[in-house]
Amino acid sequence: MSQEPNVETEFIVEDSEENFSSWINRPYVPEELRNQLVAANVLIVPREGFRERPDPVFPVGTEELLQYFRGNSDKGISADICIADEDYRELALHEALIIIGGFVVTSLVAPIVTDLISTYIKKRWGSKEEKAKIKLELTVVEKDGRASKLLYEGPSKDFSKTVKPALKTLSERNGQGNATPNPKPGKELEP
Amino acid sequence: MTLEDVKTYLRKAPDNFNSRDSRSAKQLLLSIKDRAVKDNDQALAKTIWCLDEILDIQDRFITGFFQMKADEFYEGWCTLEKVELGIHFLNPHFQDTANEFHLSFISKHTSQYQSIFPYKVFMSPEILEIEKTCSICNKVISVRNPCGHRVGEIYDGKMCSRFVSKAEFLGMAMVEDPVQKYSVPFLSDSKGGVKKDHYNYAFIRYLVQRLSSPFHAWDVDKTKRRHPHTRYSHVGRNDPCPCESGKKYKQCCLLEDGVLRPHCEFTFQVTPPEHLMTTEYSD
Repeated sequence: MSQEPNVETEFIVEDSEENFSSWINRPYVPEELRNQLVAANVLIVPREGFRERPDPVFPVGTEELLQYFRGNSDKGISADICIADEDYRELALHEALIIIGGFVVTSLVAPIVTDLISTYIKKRWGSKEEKAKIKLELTVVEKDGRASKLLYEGPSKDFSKTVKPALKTLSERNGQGNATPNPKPGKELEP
Repeated sequence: MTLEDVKTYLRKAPDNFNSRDSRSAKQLLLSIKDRAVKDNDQALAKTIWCLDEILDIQDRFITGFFQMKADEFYEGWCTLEKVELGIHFLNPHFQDTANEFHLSFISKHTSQYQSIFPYKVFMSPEILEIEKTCSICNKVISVRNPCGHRVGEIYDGKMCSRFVSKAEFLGMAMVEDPVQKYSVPFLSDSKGGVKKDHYNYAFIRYLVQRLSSPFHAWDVDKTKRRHPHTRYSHVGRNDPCPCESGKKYKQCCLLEDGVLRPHCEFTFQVTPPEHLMTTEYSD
């Protein structure tokens, strides 16, 4: 058998109705947690409706990824996860496609998050990273609350070089080409 | 036996594979590790963990080779999977750049063996992991307040992992590229439920019959070649083509010089006996 996974790349950029507040206000997020999540500029979001299940789930290894993000807070990111601790569930699918997960990020930290995810995958999967195929969704929220969703499914090694030019294009389109990273999330969270 | 003796034993795996007994080496590594942990010498404990992993990887690679030689192909497959995982876990902590312990050789050849196995689809369980504990401190993992032990890191000479203590089985999928390769589907006898191994191991059997040592290098070139029609005289013109194209035989390979089948060409570092340097056809 061939051990090499299918390495075709699928990369889609589309407008999104989702943003920080739409995720934070999901019914499964407790009220007291919402106040904490407002401070995040990187929010790990679950997969909803897997096999019509009512409970949201996260890909296996999300716990490690959150700790990795939090260990890099000096880079201007403030990461959290859109679920209460006691409701956290991981979904293990045991196939070679590595599902990294869903993320909502401010446009200003999106390039940093992209680099961090690339480095994390290299560290986590070591020598297998070269041939690995990954899947993730990145919702990038602008200061004015507009959002774009970037869906990537393809070789791990091509992730950063595919996504970063798209982030640059989005940034130029929104007139933020020379902006300075700001760890705070966008307007839509303001009361 | 000293620690240096253990390293020599590992370096000389290609010479000692036939008469290998790793028990005393294991025992010594364990006692040195225990002492290192008592003295809180984390660096030494980690070094011993690495040597112990190398010992297991070599032992399993040799075992897998002899399992395949004994026609125990599924067992050999599972042993090679353990070799692959062992190398994956070891890699972040130890790089055998000079191939001192033959890890590059083992890694390359494990992958090559796997590539000529006939297994193409695997069962893949879908599991909802509800509660996990840390293998080092046994604490239940909280996503926001973890215990601090990092998965894959070495503590007290042990690798940190997660134990799933509560889970829900959701289903089973058929996949081509599983994370674990153990779950190979087999047919079973309809009455007694006895496992029937229906796979064709011709490539792997051909190869291991021609290798006298697991540490003799070999390479494979995978192509397709036409097999003579005389081998398929039992197949009717309107039957599906034996090349598995899905077309009728008469509309496919019967129009050609032969039936197109997968072909492996092996090259050996140590030339096999002349009577084994043959071309073999297999269905």
